Amino acid sequence: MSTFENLDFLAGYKKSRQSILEIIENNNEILDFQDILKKTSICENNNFKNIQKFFIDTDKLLKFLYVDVLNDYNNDNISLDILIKKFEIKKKIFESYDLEFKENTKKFINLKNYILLSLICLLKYEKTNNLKFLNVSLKLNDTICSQVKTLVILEDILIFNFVIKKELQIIFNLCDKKGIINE
Amino acid sequence: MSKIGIILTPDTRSKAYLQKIINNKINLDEIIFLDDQRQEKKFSDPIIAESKKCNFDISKSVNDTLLENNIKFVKFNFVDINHLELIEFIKNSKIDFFIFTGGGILKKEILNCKSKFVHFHPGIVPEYRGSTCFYYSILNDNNCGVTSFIMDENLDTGDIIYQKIFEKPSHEYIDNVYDAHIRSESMLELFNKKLLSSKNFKKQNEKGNTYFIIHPVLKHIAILSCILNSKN
Repeated sequence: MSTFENLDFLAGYKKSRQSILEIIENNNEILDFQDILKKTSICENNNFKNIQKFFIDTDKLLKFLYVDVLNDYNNDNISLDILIKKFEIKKKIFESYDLEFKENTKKFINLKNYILLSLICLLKYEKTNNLKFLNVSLKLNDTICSQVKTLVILEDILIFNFVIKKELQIIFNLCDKKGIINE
Repeated sequence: MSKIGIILTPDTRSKAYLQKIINNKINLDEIIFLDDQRQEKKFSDPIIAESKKCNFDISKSVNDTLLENNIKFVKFNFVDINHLELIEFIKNSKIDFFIFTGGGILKKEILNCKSKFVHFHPGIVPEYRGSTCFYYSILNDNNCGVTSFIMDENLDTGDIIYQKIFEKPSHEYIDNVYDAHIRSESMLELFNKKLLSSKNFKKQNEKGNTYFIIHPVLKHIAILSCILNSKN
C-alpha cells in the first residue's frame, strides 16, 4: 500500500518522467508519431488470427491489437484483457503463450512488448476513458523506465518517447479535470 | 430467524465492525477472532481523530475491545480463512451467516460448509470489482459504494444482498479510516434493515470491471481530488 505524499508526489512523478525523456531525446532524433509509424513495423502484420495456429507470438499479437485499437475494430478485447491481467499479476509479458494463454517460454525481457502494450492501453484509455487501461500503462512505463538504458532499437526508443509524452499529457489532463493544479 | 456470527481479524476494518456492533447493541450468535499476534499498527493523532469522527477508535485493538466489553469469543492463532481447524469449527457451528471482515478468496472446503459468508466490498459490483476499486470510483463518479454479498469461489462475484453509495471522503485517510467506515456503516444497515432474513439475494451480472491495484499516481490524484475539493 503506497503512502500519501500530497502534491509533492505528482511533482516527483513529473520530474522523473521528464528525466527519462531527456535521456531519450539527448541521444536520438525524435520524430512525430506519424513519421514513427512510417519507419516502424507496428502496422505491418494484420494476419495474426490466421497465423497463430500452434502458439501465440506476443509481438505479433500486440501488433494486431495495436491496429485493432487504432481503427476501433474491437476484434479482440479478450486477448487485450488477458494480457493486461497477466502483466498486473506477474509483472511480466512473456514472448509467447500457448493457445490457452499459458506462458510457454521463460523469456520475458523483450521491452518492445511492454512498450507496445503500454501504447495500446493509452490509446484504449483515450477511446474508452476506462482507467484500467491507464493504470496498467503507468505500471508498464515504470517497468520500462527502470530499463530505459537498455533500449537500443531506434523503433522502440521512438515509440517509448511518444508513450511517455502521451502518458504525461493524459495524467495532467486528468489532474486538471479533478481541479488539481500542478506546477 | 437467521443466526449470525462474525469472523474478525486484527486489522482496522475489524476494529470498526466490532466497535459499531457494540455501540449499536447488536447481538451476535458467534464471534470468532483470527489473531496471528501481529504487532499492532500505530496511528498518528489526525488519523485517530478522523476515525473517532466516523464512530470508531482506530487506536483500540480488536483484542482489547473484546476483553474490555466482556465479549465471549473463540480465538484461533492464525488469520487464514481457509485453515482446516477453522473449517472444522464452522462446520460444527449452527450459524447461518458469518460476516467475514478480511479479504481473499474462500476455497471450496470452507464454501461447502452450511454457513454462508457475507462480505462488504468497497465498490458497486459488477462495475467495480477489486480491492482498491474505491479509488477508481472516486475518479470516475466522485463517490464510493459498498456492496454486501454472499461470498463465492470467485473474486467479488457473489449474490448481492445490498448496495449503497457514499459521499467521497474529505480527508486523506482512505485506506485506514474511510474504507473501514463505509463498510461498517453498510454492515449496520444490513442489521437494521434485517436484510439477511429475506434470503432474497440478487445474482450479479457476469460482465463487469475488475480493477487491479491502483498505481500510486492515480491514487494520489483520487485522494487530492477529495482533499482539494473539500477545501474549496
